[in-house]
Amino acid sequence: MSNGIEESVNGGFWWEVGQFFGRSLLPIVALVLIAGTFLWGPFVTLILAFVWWRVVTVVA
Amino acid sequence: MPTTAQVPTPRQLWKRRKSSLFTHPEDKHCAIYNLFVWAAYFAAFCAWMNPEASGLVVEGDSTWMAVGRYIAFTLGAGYLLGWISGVNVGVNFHNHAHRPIFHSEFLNRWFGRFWTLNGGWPSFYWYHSHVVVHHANLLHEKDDWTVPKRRADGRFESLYSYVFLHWPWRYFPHLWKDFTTGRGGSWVPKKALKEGLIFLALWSVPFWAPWAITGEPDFLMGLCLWLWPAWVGNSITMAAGMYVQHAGSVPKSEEHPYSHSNCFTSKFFNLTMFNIGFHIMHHDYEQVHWSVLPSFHDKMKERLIAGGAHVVPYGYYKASSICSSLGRTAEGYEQFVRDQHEDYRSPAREADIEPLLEPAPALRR
Repeated sequence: MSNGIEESVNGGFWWEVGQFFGRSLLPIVALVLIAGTFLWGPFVTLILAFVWWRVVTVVA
Repeated sequence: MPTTAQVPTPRQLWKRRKSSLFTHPEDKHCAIYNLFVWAAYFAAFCAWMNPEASGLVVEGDSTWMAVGRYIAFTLGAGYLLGWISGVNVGVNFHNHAHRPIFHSEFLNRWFGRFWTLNGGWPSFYWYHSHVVVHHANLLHEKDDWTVPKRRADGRFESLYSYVFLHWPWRYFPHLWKDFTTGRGGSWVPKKALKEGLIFLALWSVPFWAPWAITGEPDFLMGLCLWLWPAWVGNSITMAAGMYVQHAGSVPKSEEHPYSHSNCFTSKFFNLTMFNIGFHIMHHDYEQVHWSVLPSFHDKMKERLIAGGAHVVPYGYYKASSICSSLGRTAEGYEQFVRDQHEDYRSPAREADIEPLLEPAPALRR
């Protein structure tokens, strides 16, 4: 493209790491909380899910 | 932060096409997101099918406690699954619907079919409702049936009405009508039937898989960890997103070039939601890649300010929270329409607010 906005390049290794975890942050946290049920049981999963939802609602 | 690079030569583009799986390097994040969503579903199914190991069944529990554990897991894990599924379809697959992420047609088709599965959608149906219906007829009273209905005064219906009524109750009759009348092309009815059948075959798997694996039927798992998340994804995540994207908006016109959508600039929101907050730019230039929307938005900033664009410094989550204030939805709606990012305040926007809240006949559709 020649409009000057279409081509983007990354800002290095740590920028890539940030993009990887940042873009997929929501499913990564969901995966950790759900898989964590094996460690802490379903009631803690429910509480942590609510806290996470509340944090995101306040932040964004 | 991404920076503007030199425009590649045709030879560089050809080499990139040959060597890369993705049509744009940043699209790998779309695929990775989708894989994490499936991993979360896999973890939930594993927990459900291994109840002793996951603490869903504990020896010595009373009946109430035993039921309570399953309800807690359904509400917690099911809600998380629905949340990420809503984003996975409404934002992530959405990028693919506008600009397919693979060079391979086969991968685009089949990755797409699995992509929208956990959101409760055949990929073609979602493509139709978003691209053919919504984008092509943005905010048109009859032709864009995906957006909230308007009250007599021009405001959107309450967020709660939209959340509880639009999916699947409004969607299904509209899709039926569109597909039986061939909206989008004469080939559409046949394609819709084929894609619907493929979807039903794949979507039914969680309902019969426990029986196939353990020999014992467990229809409840399908309801709690598949149908319930699909409802959450569509009715809460996607509906709330759709609502705030266009709340207080009017169809595009010379007088109101940027008032067809709202723009959300929260960095955290846009990082985790594939820059969907830059929604004015997305609708005006739907083929611009999602990864460059922030820089494109910056380039257009002065025009947006001059055109009276509605820009807020937060994301959809906070916006839908404002619009859904319990018992105060009308006040919440008004607060959201009045909110404006301080860097984007302009006489044009100030002049627009009152007519948008109490539309003059010229603004009513």
